[in-house]
Amino acid sequence: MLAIALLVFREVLEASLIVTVVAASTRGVARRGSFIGGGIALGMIGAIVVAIFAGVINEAVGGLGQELFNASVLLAAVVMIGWHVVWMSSHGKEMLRHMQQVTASVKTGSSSVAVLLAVIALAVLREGSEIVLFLYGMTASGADRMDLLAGVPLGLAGGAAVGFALYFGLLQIPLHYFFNATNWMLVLLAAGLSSTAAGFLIQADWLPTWGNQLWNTSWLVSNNSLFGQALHVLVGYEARPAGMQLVFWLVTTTMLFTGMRLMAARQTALRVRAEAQQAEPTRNAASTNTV
Amino acid sequence: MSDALITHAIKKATHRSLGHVSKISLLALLIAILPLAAAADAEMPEFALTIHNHRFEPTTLKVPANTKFKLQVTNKDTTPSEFESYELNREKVVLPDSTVTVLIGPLDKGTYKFFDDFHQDTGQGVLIAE
Repeated sequence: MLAIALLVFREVLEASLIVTVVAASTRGVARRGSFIGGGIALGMIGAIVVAIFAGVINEAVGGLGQELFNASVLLAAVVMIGWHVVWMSSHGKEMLRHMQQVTASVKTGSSSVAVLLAVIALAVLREGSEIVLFLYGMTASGADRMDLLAGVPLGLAGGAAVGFALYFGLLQIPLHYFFNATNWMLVLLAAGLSSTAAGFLIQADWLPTWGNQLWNTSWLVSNNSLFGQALHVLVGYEARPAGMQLVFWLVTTTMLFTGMRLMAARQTALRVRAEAQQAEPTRNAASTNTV
Repeated sequence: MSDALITHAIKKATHRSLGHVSKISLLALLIAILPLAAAADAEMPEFALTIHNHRFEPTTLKVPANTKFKLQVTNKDTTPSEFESYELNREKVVLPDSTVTVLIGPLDKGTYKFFDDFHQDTGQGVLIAE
């Protein structure tokens, strides 16, 4: 029973941490509960479909289907998170202002939230398909039904509980810094997913390693420890990273950081211009006439 | 690396059917890495590992150090398994009655543990690179 609970817990934990960061980053957005629930439900359906077609996926692209499928799912999530954080940089302040005035839900942001729904669905799909395969195997090999009935809910509850704990921890961040913090968490999350994707592309021999093992910190934090696994999801920690994984991590953080800065700067410039126009409408009108 | 080799690699990659995967992101990646990814995999040594009764056979496998090699993992059970190793940075699901290829290395001399993620209590093994 414990073995079953542990495997389910490990897989659920990864998805649960991703869902948590996404949930925190959409705080205050209208109908986000149904978005998150919908993402999880879609992901679970997807997980079953992926498990059913696991054989087809495996044999695709000359036996590299599994690696390429995983890498694609991960990179798709990276692109979507990237799009969201850049979008947030131009709308985040607006959202924050709404939240400080009224605690009611903010109506803006549904389009970006839809993107995050997809991120949740992808995370659940990837981890969930392994649970489905594992449980299928357990049932097929005649595992004790009581073990399954006790182990699966226990693992699920444990994984979800860690997610909730992180969520309520994040809520302690003062509102003024809140979206900044969740945005940064999303950037690190995306960087980690990107580095994991690089790992799969290396495994498929589509990418060179650029150093099989840059360093080995498994003596400090091992990737199979609970803490190591949580760090792996949240910031992309690898005890033995390949050079290419570090490159992917750095490129992702740099690109998203630059995107956020550019959008924020553009937004500030637009606001300054709008305020100037409001303050001096006549002079502005005159200057446009001369031009 | 010769131009002919690179052209060949580009042709090979563009003819690969990507199916429903995110083509744009993979394409962007490909453009960036193609000149580096074209590695000769013709004479790669191969090693075999069998999963039977949720155990690896053999449990200890000797492989050459500093060489890239292929590990063929065959699952003879009726249930899915997952070949996984933190030390090798590899994970791959092996369905019942099927074989997967895992590319590994070049490894430094040493021992590398691997396990069956779905049957960790019995599925344990070690690679020795020498």
